[in-house]
Amino acid sequence: MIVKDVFISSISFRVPGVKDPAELKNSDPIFETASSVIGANNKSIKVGLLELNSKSKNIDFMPKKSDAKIMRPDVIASTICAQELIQGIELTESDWKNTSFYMANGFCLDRLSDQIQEMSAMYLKPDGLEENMSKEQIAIVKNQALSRFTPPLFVLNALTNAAQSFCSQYGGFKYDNTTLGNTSQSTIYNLEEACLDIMEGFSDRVVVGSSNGAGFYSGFSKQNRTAGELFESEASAFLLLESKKSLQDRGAKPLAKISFLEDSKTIPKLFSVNDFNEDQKFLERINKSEVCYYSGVSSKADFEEQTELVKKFYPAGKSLFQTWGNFGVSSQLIDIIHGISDKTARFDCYNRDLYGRSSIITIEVIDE
Amino acid sequence: MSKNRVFVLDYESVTPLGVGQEAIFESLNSNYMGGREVSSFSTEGLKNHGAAEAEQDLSRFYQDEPEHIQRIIAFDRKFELMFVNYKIFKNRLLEIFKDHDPKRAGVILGVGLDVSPIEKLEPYLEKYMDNPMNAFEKVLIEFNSKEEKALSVLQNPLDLSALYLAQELSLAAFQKTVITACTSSTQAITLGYKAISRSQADAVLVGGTDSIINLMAYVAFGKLGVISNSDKDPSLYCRPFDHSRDGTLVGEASGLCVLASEEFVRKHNLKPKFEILGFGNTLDGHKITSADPSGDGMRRALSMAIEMSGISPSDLDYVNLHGTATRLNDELELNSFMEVVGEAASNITVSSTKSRHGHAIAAAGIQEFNLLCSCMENDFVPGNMNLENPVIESGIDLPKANKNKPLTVGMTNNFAFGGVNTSIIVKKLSNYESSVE
Repeated sequence: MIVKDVFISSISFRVPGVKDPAELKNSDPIFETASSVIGANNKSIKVGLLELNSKSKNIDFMPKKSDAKIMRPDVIASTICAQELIQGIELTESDWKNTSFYMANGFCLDRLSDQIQEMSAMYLKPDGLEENMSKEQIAIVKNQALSRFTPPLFVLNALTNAAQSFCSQYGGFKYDNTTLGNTSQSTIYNLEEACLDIMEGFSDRVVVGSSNGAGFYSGFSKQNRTAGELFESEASAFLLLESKKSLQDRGAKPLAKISFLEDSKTIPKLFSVNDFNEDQKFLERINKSEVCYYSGVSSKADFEEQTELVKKFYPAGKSLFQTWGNFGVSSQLIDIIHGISDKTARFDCYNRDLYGRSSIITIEVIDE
Repeated sequence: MSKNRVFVLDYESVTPLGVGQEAIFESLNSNYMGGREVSSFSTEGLKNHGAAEAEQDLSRFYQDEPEHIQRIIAFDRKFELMFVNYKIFKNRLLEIFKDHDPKRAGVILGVGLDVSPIEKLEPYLEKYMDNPMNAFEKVLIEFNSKEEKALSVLQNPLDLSALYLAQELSLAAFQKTVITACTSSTQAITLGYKAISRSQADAVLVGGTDSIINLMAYVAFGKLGVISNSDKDPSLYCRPFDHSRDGTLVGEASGLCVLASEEFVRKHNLKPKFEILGFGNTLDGHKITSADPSGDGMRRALSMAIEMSGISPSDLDYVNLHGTATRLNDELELNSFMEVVGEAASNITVSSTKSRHGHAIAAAGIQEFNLLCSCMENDFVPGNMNLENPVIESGIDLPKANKNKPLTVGMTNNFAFGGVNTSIIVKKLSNYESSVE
């Protein structure tokens, strides 16, 4: 799809250890926390974790304590990003209210795994069980133990649209909206929706956001679909897209524009691991830029295959995979932010999700 | 937004009221109440005991399926409901999608999050009881290590149902999974509507599936305080718009609906049943724990739907309300609706059907949209069951009993945790040919 007059006017993101786009160039960022867990089939799952709390440095937009206690770290990161995104942009409350908001969310349970384990354990081996108890008596003891150890707001903590809800609360975006889950393809769909909204005059401004969870449960949902070690990071990334009119009305200059967006329209393969042949065909038919930013799917082996393909079609390729692994639903947005911060004049963001759905977004950076 | 017309070709559901739309309508007509004592796990010792469960033994629909499908179904009720929904709808779907262009057809489903059901895993957890804190994790590893197919048996990806249907029906344009809680499948319909109206696709299979009727989710929702704590029979738990309401009835459901463009309808010589006229979709931006008490977000969604549809409020014949029977939401919804439609309210019939089938969370939207279509096809208004002392005595038609009324234009509303408000307006096409300009 050729995209016309859709501008990127603000960006924000969080990846482990980094908040400034300039730091994305650093080949060796410091992980605030990194863990490595052993998953199924003897595959390891390496995970980069966000560490965001009131003690973290350089956080100006920490949500209220009463909210933060029911927020997962990826949700806190998104809420911070949403507030950073709108800083310094002169729009009225009503303008933000009429801003559409499309969010993509990765797996939500990873940071709740300790709670889930505890709830399970208390149910399985509760205090007060006695040998001669009847089946009904055992059920009473177990169910009551589970109930006691289930936090009252657990549902909201695990809510799949929690990031959307808090970003709307703190950022004021209240118009058309959705949260899609849970692979990187969700963000392509959201970007496409946003571009069409602006091109057709449905909205003058759209916030496209992402909140990626990573860890044990996420790993399980992906483990058999990738070759070798899984490597991914929690992340959050946001773009503000605006129409020409919106920019003119507030006398603002954009950072970049989206000029092309296409997905491969591949029928996803649920029960088999994909090969990259379809990607090759997809890339062959696309007009390409000089530089390609790519996200690396979820494992080192997939990253290497993708690298080979990029080398074949592009003079230059850049990826953050080796440092952070895959960013899931945040992949494309972070690649876009990376390219803009590099001041690459025109670049493609090539992404492929776990089910073999590929996409290209072309970005043109606008010189100040 | 450019406006290609968007038609509803066909729809099908699996709900506590029945397997298949015909059975569901029969249940509505006969005032069948889906609320029962939970049968799928023990509720001994819990505050709540009831839920609206869809038929428990659905194995006749998948007993001949490959082993890997049956293994997924064994631990994933959401996929089970969607699979059965697909099976009963399959022949009609294959007829619609028999010679379509895969790149012009997509699928959008709304689903809810869940953890693997502990009550079903319990027999496998026994051997790890020396360290119960790790038992759940150990079983996940054990199960998934055995799995040879490229899919986890436990902790399935949320996209599972949408991806499965895309493979089965060659729906390549897109496969979206909406995860906005109680508005998930309502938004699946609105996104499908947008995709067709702006020529992104010719046909979209929309719908959703959800079940929170497993022990951990049931307890967690109970702790949140949204489930009725009534000591009454479960069929009396959910009392929308009644002064005595104290919470909802947990439900589960799956639903599918095919939306198509005018061009697709003509090319394949199909006869659409309804036209979607428009939708409203807004955020409260208030608090995750409750809806905005001012009703601003709801009013904006309702107004947006009416405006986009190009109708006047007085054109609305029937509205299927979200009506969960929680304390705040019901009155807020009714007041917001009456404020938006103004004087027209007195002639508009409204009801909530959740007292009959419970709240299916992410599948609530498609369950109630399909039910609205079914009611409109039959010019039938389902009464508000369990309504004795209405919160509003006059100014709007809130019937206690079922009634027949010509229904041409209908609306359905859903509102979600996190402050999402979604409304859809649909028009019955009694004579499609003459409706084409």
